[in-house]
Amino acid sequence: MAAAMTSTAERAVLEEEFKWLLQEEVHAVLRQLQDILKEASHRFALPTSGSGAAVRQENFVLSTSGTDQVKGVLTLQGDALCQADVNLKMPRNNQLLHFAFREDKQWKLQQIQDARNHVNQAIYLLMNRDVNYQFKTGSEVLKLMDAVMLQLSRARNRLTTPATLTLPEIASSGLTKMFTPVLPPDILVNFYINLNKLCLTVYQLHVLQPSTTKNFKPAGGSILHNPGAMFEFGSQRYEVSHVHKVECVVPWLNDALVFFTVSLQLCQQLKDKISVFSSYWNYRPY
Amino acid sequence: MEVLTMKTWVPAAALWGRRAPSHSITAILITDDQQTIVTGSQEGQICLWDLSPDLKVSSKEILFGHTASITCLAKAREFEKQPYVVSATENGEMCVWNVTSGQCIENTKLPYRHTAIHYYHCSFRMTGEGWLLCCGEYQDVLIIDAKTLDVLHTLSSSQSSDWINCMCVVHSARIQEDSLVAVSVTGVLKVWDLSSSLNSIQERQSVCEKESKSLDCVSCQAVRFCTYTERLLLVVSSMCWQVYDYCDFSLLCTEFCKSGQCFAGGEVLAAYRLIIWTEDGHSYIYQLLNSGLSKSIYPADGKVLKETVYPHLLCFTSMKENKSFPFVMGFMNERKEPFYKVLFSGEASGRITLWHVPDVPVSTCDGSPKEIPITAVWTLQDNFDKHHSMSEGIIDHLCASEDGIEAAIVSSSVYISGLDKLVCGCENGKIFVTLGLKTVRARLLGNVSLLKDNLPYKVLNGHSSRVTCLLYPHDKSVRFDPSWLLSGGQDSVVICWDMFTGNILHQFNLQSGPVTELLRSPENYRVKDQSIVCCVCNDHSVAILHLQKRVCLLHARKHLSPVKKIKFDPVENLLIVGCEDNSVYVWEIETGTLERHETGETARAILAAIEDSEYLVADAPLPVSQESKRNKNSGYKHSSSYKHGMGPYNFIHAEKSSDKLTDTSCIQQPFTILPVKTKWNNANFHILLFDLQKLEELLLSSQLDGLKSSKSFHNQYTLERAKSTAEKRALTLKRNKTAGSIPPVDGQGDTVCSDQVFRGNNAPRPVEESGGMKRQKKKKSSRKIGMQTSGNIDVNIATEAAKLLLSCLLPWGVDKESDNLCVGHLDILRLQRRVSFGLVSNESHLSLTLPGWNCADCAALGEGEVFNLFSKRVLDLSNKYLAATEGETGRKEGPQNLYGTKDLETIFFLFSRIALINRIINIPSAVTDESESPQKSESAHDKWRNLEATTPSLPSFYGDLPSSKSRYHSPDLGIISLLKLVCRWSEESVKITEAMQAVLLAEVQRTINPLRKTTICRESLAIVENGNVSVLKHGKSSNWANFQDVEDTPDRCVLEESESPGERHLKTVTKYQVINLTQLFGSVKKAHCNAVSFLAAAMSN
Repeated sequence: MAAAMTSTAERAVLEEEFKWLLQEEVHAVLRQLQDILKEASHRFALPTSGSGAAVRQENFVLSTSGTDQVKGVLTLQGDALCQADVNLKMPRNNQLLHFAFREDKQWKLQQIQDARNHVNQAIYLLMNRDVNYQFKTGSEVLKLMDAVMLQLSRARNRLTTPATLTLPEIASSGLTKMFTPVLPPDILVNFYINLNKLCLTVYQLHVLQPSTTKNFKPAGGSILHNPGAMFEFGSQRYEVSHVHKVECVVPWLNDALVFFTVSLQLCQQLKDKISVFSSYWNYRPY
Repeated sequence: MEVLTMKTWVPAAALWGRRAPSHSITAILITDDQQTIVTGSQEGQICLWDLSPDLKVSSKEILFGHTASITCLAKAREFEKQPYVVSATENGEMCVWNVTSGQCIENTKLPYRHTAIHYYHCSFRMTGEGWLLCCGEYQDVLIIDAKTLDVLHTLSSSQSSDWINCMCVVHSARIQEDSLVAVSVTGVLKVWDLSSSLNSIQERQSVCEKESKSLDCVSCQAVRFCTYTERLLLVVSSMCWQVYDYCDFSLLCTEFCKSGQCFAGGEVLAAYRLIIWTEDGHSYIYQLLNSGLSKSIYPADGKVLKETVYPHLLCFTSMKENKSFPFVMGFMNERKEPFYKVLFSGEASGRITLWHVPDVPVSTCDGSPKEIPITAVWTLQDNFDKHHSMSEGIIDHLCASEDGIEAAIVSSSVYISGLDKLVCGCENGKIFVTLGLKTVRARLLGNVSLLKDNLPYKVLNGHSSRVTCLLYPHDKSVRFDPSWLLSGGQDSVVICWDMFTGNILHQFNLQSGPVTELLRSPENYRVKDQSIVCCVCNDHSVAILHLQKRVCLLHARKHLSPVKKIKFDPVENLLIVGCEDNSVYVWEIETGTLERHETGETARAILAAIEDSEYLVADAPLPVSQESKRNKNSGYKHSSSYKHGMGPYNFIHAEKSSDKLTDTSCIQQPFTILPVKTKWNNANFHILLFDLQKLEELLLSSQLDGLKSSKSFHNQYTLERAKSTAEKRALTLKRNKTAGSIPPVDGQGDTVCSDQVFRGNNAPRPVEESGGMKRQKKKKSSRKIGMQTSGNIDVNIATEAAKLLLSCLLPWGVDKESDNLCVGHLDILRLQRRVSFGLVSNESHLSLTLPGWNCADCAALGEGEVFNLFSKRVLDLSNKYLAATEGETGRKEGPQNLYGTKDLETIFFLFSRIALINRIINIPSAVTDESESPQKSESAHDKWRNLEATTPSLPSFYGDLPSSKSRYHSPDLGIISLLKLVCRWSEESVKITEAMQAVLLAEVQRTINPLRKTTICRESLAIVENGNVSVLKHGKSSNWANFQDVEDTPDRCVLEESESPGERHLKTVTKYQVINLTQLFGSVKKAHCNAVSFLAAAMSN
């Protein structure tokens, strides 16, 4: 009897606590999340519509730790590379190549755009549940958290996982046509984001003669291809002879990544808190 | 070949609980005929709701198949021609469903997440079935073929390319050009020409937008073209709605939303009249000025028009209580009678609300807006409450008798098919162990109160709160002791039970929150220890339990986010845990120390490094059988055309998916009870799965046995009821032996060795799928072995299962007399109540009827007692079937068994008919898939050949058809007409379940009718005489195919005229059997040849 009494008392306490969690704590966490994500979203410098103010341009100097084969300055404006200035010292003859973006061209960094859109989606999901909204069940909170976390992990994955491209895909991308003077046919370039770094890879190619005894084996998709990788493009076979990778740290990408991680953790903690009470919320009528 | 073998249908019946599966609506649409509402849920299911002409809603069917949240729904064909709807999910799956029959027509998985889809078809300029124009979490617009679901092309942007939020097709007679208007996430409006770029799309030239204009709005929700004025463009963003002039995209008016509200969508109601709805379920109908402007452009009139400067609010709808975010709404605008203008909404709580919007909405007399009342509200739960007898849980009757208070809710369950044991863990911590088939019978069938009371069951008391998961490790791996049963609870305790005695062998106290999952260790991790189980707890810790030694080897507790993958490195004795946040923890099992913790690229590399070694996937929060998890993507056809995405989405697979049940791979047994859990909801329900093919094989083999020693068989049969399980197993063994001594069914040499393999007890599981006739042949035998090895072929179970299926299929009450005869003579018992019937198709798609389906139909029949009739159409179909197969009736004298002995032959016959229909129905679709020939005038002859081609592995099947002997190329009229009939049915999109029921009804009537006559005769005739006749006819009517083969041969007559006692008859019959079987094998070989030639032909085409 006593045991039953305590258990009902305990149950009542737990229910009370759960009510508090749903009515107070959840909203507190949601507000916190929203603040963090808005902060993250600002980092992506969404062109604020209406105000007409252009997005700030940032210059980044590319560098490598070892050799100075490739040097360059990139200008990033939101999710677009609006200027690129690359100097390439050819390893064979030490000839200096210089090429830059054409005035009329911009290169959209899809990774940044996608990450920004995912964050905004997450904010949108949170926006509707303001303080006046009453969560009635735990599963409702879990569903919301799952949806938000899905967007956030996608946002983070977009930045942490550059696309794996094949060499013909790089060769056929519009990027090669953006430069002035026109890129020599034996040079390929690729831009991508890896974590908080903006990376530029320059591939130097040499043409494989049809008579060559080398076994031709086209390389698959990869973030960074190694010298020796072969591919066929426009009925011509090529082999990568040199690879130069230069990168620069974009500080706000780092901020954004930290924000993503923190908010993902917040979401998970809220989910964990809710599921502590799972035996109480499961069988309530919705 | 794949297409040919892939299509198998598995009938299923659902045992719901009192609580409806949760269905948080994320997408909703009403079909063009206004008869069906289609909803997609966050849990990944699709619900079909019946919309009656007076706007009453009732749930009809639930469709399983997606493994993630549904993001959008759209029609996928001209609806009048084909009632197809396409659904897309969060993880890139797409399915085309026939909403009339509930079948999945096509499915694919692409690396794109769509948030909106529009069907576009231009009949005079396009070949094929049209396009699905898709937008979502990728740049610009994708064009997907509506039939094949392949990516055809993209509509790309030359500038400010971004994700598209919403779009609409502008079809204007005035402009004579179809265009796609879309608004991107950054508020850039883009227009692509559709009609004039048809050619370039077909030739895959890049198509760029014609127009691109930045609008002053972010997070745009909808864009609509006014077809009445052909001039106005409505753009709804969450903050405001705006009207633009389509000619020059100049802004005509803007209306902001009230604070605290967000607009979610809108539609043009009529010329200058709009309906706009909000995120929280309200809607507003506005009247615009005729120019569409918010202000008059004539300054002179400025003063006069002052009152109507803003769009005038005419009407509104509102949602008062029980708000649950978010609402998804839509508006159906039909100008034609008898259709309505309907505003509809679906909520996260699963509630559907309808408003009938008047044709001419007007404000109240004083000019204030008028509220339009709600016309209908409905939820799934309403259906469950209304038909609560139908939604009784699987062991509710047990719990009731146990506690006498309330039925405990089953929180987890497992069915051990080998032992026919159903183990149910309950909310209150009790675990019930019962006999699966008997429990189901007691739950479903009427007149078995005796059964119900005597149902043997055990209650295991050990957990103090909810039982969260159960595992019977011996099921899939023999290295575990067959008596071990593991249960995990909310109380963080894992108990190892002796299932047979009910004793607790050991109790592991983990103190880590509720146990969320119990998993077998992989097969290759047996270097050191055999009996290891993994246990995942709510605090994301992983415990490794050694069952033999009864110790917890390792409790890895450092994981910060949910565990997604568990792998073992058998060489270095490491446990590798992959978490949801993409980090990896490497634990040394021996010492229990954390070796490494990695994130990012390294983590991926570590997981990938042991990809080929067996691992446990714990990514699903709902414990489905391991099997189905491993194969979960196999159901989806992965498209190879990933070009457009440039592969940015290759992380899709790594993402968490709310995995959902059902592929046939988990149906290793002819009869299975599959527990199903939907995400975010602990209440689960059970699905009974009947594998027609396997049941048929089993029954066939039992028939062989039965004929050989008919008497003893009957003895066994009657004994069966009294037997305990253990004895039953002995019987099974015995029967297996006899099966070995009798010429094996498939007549192949290697079956002889099955006996030894059986003892070896670890024959490989038959490989499903994959083509090649030869392989199939092999498979056939290996499946045979597989079945025997499992040691589970219990013919009694098979027979009971077959009877249960027939019970579930029969429309009770249509013909009361035949009902009674069925119950009395065939032991096919009456259903207690209607049953939720369904079909598993394409391996992973399941459609289940919901409580409340076809109520209207049944009521219309006017007889309260008619129930379980799938649709009114069935009666009609049944008559058609009878007429079409008229020719057969002459030969096929109904079985006349006067003694009320359980007429197994009849049951088998009825059963095989259903299986046959099932197969025939599958063929035409397979054929059309294969050849893609538009001409439907395929001759029945061709179909017949295809039929042969698809099922060469089942000799019993040929047996079903009278023409199987040597008449392949001239199938007799009866069969052709049957084929024609069935093919016509599938063109008329008759559901398979309907067809099966119709055929069953017809056959039952046909078989029973003679019986009816003789029952009357019996009174006048001498019983002894009758007895003799019955034995004779008994043999004759056993309806195996091979019998029918010879039915018109003179030998048959001799047999019938012979006056030897029953025993001898039976022997003769058996002899016949053997001869016929050999003939049959000849024909099977022939079928193989036919199949091969057919395939060759198909390939060369």
